[in-house]
Amino acid sequence: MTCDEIKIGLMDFLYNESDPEADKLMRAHLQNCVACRAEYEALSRTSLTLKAWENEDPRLHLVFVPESRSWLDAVKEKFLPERAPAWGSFAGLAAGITIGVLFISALLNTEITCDNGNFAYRTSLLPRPSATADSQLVAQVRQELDAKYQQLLLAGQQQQRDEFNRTLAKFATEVDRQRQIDLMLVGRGLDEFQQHTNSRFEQNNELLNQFLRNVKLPQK
Amino acid sequence: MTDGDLIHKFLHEPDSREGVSAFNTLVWRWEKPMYNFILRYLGKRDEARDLTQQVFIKVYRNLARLKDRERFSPWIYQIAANLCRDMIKQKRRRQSFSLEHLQESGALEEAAHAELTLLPEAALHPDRVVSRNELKDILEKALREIPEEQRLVVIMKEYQGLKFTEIAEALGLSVNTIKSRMYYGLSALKKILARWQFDEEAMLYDV
Repeated sequence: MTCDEIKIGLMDFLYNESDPEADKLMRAHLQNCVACRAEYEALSRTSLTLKAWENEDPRLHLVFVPESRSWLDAVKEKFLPERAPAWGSFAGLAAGITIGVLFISALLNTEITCDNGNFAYRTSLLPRPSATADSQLVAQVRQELDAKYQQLLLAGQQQQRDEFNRTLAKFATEVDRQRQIDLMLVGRGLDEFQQHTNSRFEQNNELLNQFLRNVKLPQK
Repeated sequence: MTDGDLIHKFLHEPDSREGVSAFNTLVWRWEKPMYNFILRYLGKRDEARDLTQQVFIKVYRNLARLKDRERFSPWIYQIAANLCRDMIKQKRRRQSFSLEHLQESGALEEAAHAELTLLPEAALHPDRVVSRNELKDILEKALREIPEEQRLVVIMKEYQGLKFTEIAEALGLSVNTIKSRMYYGLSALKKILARWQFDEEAMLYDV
């Protein structure tokens, strides 16, 4: 047994918890090892010193008193037999479920409102009538919104039609104006052509007259 | 009648006079060891009184869960140790909160100086013979100097007289860990008492 291994064994030896074999080994080691013997003696003295702190009397005098029974237990004992019949348990279960359902229903129909800083709390087992009124109001608003939507849709379609008619009229006017211009240009061209033709005819006449004057016709 | 017999009687007829009487005997038997164990661990009498009561309330509520009734001793020490640890944790949380305040107000340095006066008087006058009360104060302060887990083992061994196996069972640790903590705890106490120049001669004079 080495000095390092001694620590845990020393505790067993100090408090008389080591088995005979380990006890024998420890005694042999302590007899031969001065350092371990000194350690053992010092720890033994410390242990002895610690034991000088005696126990105090707590003066608590605690006394156990069985818990008093609840009023429910007292009622049960008075009115119900030792072993409750099966229907009793069933009735109790049904009552418990009913109370639970009513409680959940009350929670679901709880309403907290705030009107000008005044908080109001209301609850009921069944849904409040105002819930129906609310749904009617919602339906009414929905109808109004539908009507408004239809109105806006029609107005949009009308606007599109007006816009189309305006564009069409504008196009027709433009076509008409372009036709007038074309007709005017054609007329002007025809006038110029006519004038040119007339002047050519006149020139030809002049030339023919001049030729006739100069040419002496043979005498008969 | 052993603890196991009393427990059996109580659990068999909890409402009868005999059952109540059995539990009261158990309380009467364990009241003093529990109080002194908690007192040595926590160091405050009012806390020790409160926790002792809490221990027995827990025992009453959970006694039916104790599988081996002959192992009542480690079981009740386990309850007491857990309650003490919870109390220490609560105190630490409160202390860390108040320390933040002290740091802010700069009072922490003053407290560090004040701590010097907490040393036992016998340490300042080694030749003086100490009274029984002074001796108790010195040992209490010495125990407070060692780490909490070592202190717990030292108290269980030195004052409650539990075997190493019982301490291991109560604390849920291996026997070797318990012996190791005992060794280091005892060695630390030896050094602390030597530092304070306190030895068994001082108390022998008083006796």
